[in-house]
Amino acid sequence: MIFAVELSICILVWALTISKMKTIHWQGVRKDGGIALHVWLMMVFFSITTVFLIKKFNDLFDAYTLNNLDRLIAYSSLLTGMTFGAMAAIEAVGKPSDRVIGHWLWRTLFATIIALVVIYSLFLSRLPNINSFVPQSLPEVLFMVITFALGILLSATVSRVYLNYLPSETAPIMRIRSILIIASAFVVCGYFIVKIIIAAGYFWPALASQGLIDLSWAFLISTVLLYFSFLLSNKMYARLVMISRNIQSWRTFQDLRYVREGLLRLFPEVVLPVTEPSFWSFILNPEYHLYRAIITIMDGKTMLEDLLSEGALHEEPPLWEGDMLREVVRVEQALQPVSSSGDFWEIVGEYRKAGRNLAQVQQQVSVWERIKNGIY
Amino acid sequence: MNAKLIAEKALKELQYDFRAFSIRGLISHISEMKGREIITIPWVMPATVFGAWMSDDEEPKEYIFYRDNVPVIHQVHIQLHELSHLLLGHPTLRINRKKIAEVFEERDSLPFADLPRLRSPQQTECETQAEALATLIQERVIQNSNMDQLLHDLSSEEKLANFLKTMGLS
Repeated sequence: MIFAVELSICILVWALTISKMKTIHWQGVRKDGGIALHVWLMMVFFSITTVFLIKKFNDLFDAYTLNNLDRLIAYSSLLTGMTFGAMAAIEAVGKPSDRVIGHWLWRTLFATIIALVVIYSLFLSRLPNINSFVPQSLPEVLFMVITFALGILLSATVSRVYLNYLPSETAPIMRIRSILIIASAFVVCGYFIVKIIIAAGYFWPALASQGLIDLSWAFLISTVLLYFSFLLSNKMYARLVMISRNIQSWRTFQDLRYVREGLLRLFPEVVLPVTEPSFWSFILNPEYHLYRAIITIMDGKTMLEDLLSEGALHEEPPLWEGDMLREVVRVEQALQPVSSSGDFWEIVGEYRKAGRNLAQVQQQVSVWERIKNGIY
Repeated sequence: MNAKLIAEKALKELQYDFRAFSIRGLISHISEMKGREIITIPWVMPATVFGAWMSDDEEPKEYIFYRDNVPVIHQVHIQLHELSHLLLGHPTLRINRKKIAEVFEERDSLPFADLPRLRSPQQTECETQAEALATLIQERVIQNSNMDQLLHDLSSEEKLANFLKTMGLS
């Protein structure tokens, strides 16, 4: 089972890296300040890391090379990939002060890799192959903690840079992408914290519980999923944004109902009724239903204006009397301030406000009726 | 066949790229398709009448009258509704250049009262079909403009926008 998961992750990550190699516009790679190049290098190093995630491959690799060499390569490539990722984030959306941190990140990475190489050469290469999640010796603890600590620093840098940037981003798709990057960085941070706790199990065995090991797997798989999601194309995101907007539109459609129903009561035969869609059929096609509702309202509003300007209220007998006349006044007052200039969505917003106002007035009226009838 | 299915069929036959929609563009597309000049005229319509389509029986011309005192979106919808009648091959009143000239000289009036009305107690099947097609056209326009807006708006940060383009993610 674990082998299948490890192999799948490795294949998927490599497939993504290779596919991106084909889709990147290499001729424009300098235009974005090297961000795309940094991201692609991050992908390459992550892909190398995932090869060493496969336990069976590691055993074979170590058998033909040096003991535990897989650990050194995996940890170094993971940290290098993360540093490229952090540099891409700083370059893309970081402040000038973040660039100073960027220089220090490279230096810290080199120092860390040198430290890892030293620990490996002096200790780990002489140990039998490491097969346990929990370190069995102090050099192993040190090896892991140094790696994971830098991992936390790098992921915290990415999340901080994007958290600072997020409020200024106005493009809906980039906002979602940024949120996913922040979420990935938090999950990676969580993964490394859990790994450090597991490593501390060398001193306090209670910390190296199976629950924590399972949690680290959960974090790892979540990281991979988030990693894939923030590298999806804008077209995929656009569909997701549209779905979320469609769900929000349902509320708007409900608010418009008060105006439509008001007009339909006044002109039962002449206002073309809107067929009430179910929630799901609305979600599949909200523009159709919203547009239909707006045109129905505009038709009704125009008719009301026509009839009022022709003196419908002063005719003998008047066109409306009693409750219907009160309804005319309510609907007319709700629709009067509506501005129908602007684009479709602005018009929808205006009529939505009118719908809410009308609903409020109707509620007040119904409360008053109840008081009058002694129900309260 | 119900009105929406008939409208969907007509929309398919229209073969129009809704990403570049404008009412003028659509009119010239239909004009070319039908081999008839389409003339749209904003008009002071009688109460509760929104628009009317009349066909020239002497020259290859179609006249579309639409209410001039309603919001632009409503004016566009009225024109689309009348164009839909034409696309669906519905019957309509016949007029000619002479009649139009007389109307403009205020010696005659347009026969709006003779036309069936959508927004009336006597709604006909043709009116419902035309309304369905007009709605489908606007639905396509709104959908395309939403998607376009989303895909066009890459990022507030120029470098990120360039990054998305370079990575082939835009």
